Amino acid sequence: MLGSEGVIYSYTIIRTKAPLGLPNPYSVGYIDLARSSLRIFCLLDPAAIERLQVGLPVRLVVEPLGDDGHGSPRLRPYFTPRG
Amino acid sequence: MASVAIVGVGMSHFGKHPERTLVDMAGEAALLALKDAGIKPSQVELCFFANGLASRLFGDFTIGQNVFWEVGINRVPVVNVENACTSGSTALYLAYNAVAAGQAEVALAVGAEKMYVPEFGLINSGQSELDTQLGLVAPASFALRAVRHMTEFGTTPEQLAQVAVKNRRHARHNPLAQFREPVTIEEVLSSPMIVDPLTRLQCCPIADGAAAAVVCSSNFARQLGRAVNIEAVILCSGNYESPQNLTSWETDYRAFNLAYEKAGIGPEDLDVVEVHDAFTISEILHYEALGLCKTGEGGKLVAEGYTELGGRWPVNVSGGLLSRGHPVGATGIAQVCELVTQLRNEAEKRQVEGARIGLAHCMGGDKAGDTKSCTIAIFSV
Repeated sequence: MLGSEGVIYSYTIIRTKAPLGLPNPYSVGYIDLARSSLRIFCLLDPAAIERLQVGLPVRLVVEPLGDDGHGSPRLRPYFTPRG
Repeated sequence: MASVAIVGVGMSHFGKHPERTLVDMAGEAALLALKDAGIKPSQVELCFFANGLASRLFGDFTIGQNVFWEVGINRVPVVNVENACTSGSTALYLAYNAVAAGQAEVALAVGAEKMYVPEFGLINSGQSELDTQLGLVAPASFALRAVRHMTEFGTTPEQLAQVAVKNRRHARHNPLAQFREPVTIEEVLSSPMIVDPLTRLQCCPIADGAAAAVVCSSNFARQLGRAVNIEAVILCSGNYESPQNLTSWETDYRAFNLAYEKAGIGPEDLDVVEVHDAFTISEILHYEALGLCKTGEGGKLVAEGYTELGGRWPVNVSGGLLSRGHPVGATGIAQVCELVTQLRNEAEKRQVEGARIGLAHCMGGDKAGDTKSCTIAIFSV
C-alpha cells in the first residue's frame, strides 16, 4: 500500500564503532515516501555513501547487510538509490 | 498554588572519576546543597533522585534511598526518577509541583550519573525500539537535523563549530566543568568525524557527576535568604506524528511557548539561558525555538556573538553539556545550579552582569523523529 519508493529527506553517515553488526561506516536517513505523506527512518545503502544527498530518489530493498553480531549474515531493510 | 523557590544548590566536579561511586558523588552534591541552603537533613520532607543509566550499567536501582540515607535522610518519601536526558529536570519538576501543591515545605532534588565505564558505546533510545534496531544512535538523530538545517537554511560547518568554541570559552571560568581548554573553529572541524557533519568536539562528552537543589515554599525561603524564585517548570512529551519537521521541532517550540506563557515573560526578558547543547546543532535549533531569532537563523546568531558572555543573550555560560560533559541524570540539575549561581550574582568571572531572569532547557529520548521529553524551568530574582 505504501509502496517501496521515496526520496531522501535527510541522511547521515555513522563513522564510530557500529552497533548490532552493522558495517562500518553505515548510513541512516529519513525518507519521504512517494505514495504517502509519511516520513520514515531507515538504514541507507552503505555502498552508496558517496552518492547520498537530500532529494535523492531511493527504493526499499531487503538484503544481507552486516552480520548478526555472531558472524552470520543478517537480512535488513534499507533504501538504495533508484536506477 | 504556593509560590516556590530554590534556596540551595550544589554539584560535584564533572569529569572522569573512576575512584568515586554514584552514591558518593550524589551525596556530595546533596550535602553541598543543604549547606548552601543553611538547613539540616532533618528539615527535608520529600526527596527525588534522578538517574538514567545505572540500571543498565551497574544493575543498580532504587538508588535514591541509598543516596539520601548517606546524607542522613531517612523515613521521608523518596522517588526515583528516570526520564532520559531530562531525568534531573524532571526531578525538579516533581519537587516544584509537590511544594506548590503544599505536599511539603522543603524538597530535595538530586541527579547523578556514572558513565566512564569500559565499552560505554553510544547512547540510544532503548535497545528494543525499532529505530535502535535499525541503527539509530543519539548523535545520528542530531546529525540528521544538522544536514537538513544546512540544506534548507545554508547553515555552515563553521557556524556549528562556533557553538563548541563559545561554550569552551565559557567553561574556562567554570572550575566544575570537565573540559576547560579553549578550542578553535579549525580544531573543532578537524577533530574526528563521528556522524556527518558532527565531529567529536561537536558531541557532548560523557561524564561522572552529580548535582542537587533544595526546593522550598517561598514562605520557608524567607527565613533563609539568597532565594531564587521559580516562575515556571514545565514538562512536555513528544507528538510522534509523521512527518516530523527536523528543522523546526514542534515539541521544542511548544514547550518554550508554554513556559513563557506560565511565567508571563517572553524571549526579550531573558538575561541568561542554559540549553541542552548535546550537540552543536542542538543549541542552534533551541535558539530558534526559544525565539532568540527566526527559524533558520540560529547559525548566524551564534556566529555574530549574540549568545556569548557579554552578548544580548548569553547561552550556556557554564560551558554547557559540550564542555561540562553530560552525566545524564545530573545535567538538568546542573543547569539549575548554574542559573541560581548567576541570579545570586555569585558566578565570578563568568557572571552575566545584572542577571535577573534565567531559563533552563533539557531534552531527552528519541521517538519517531521527535523527542520523548522536553523540560523548561524559568527562574527570577
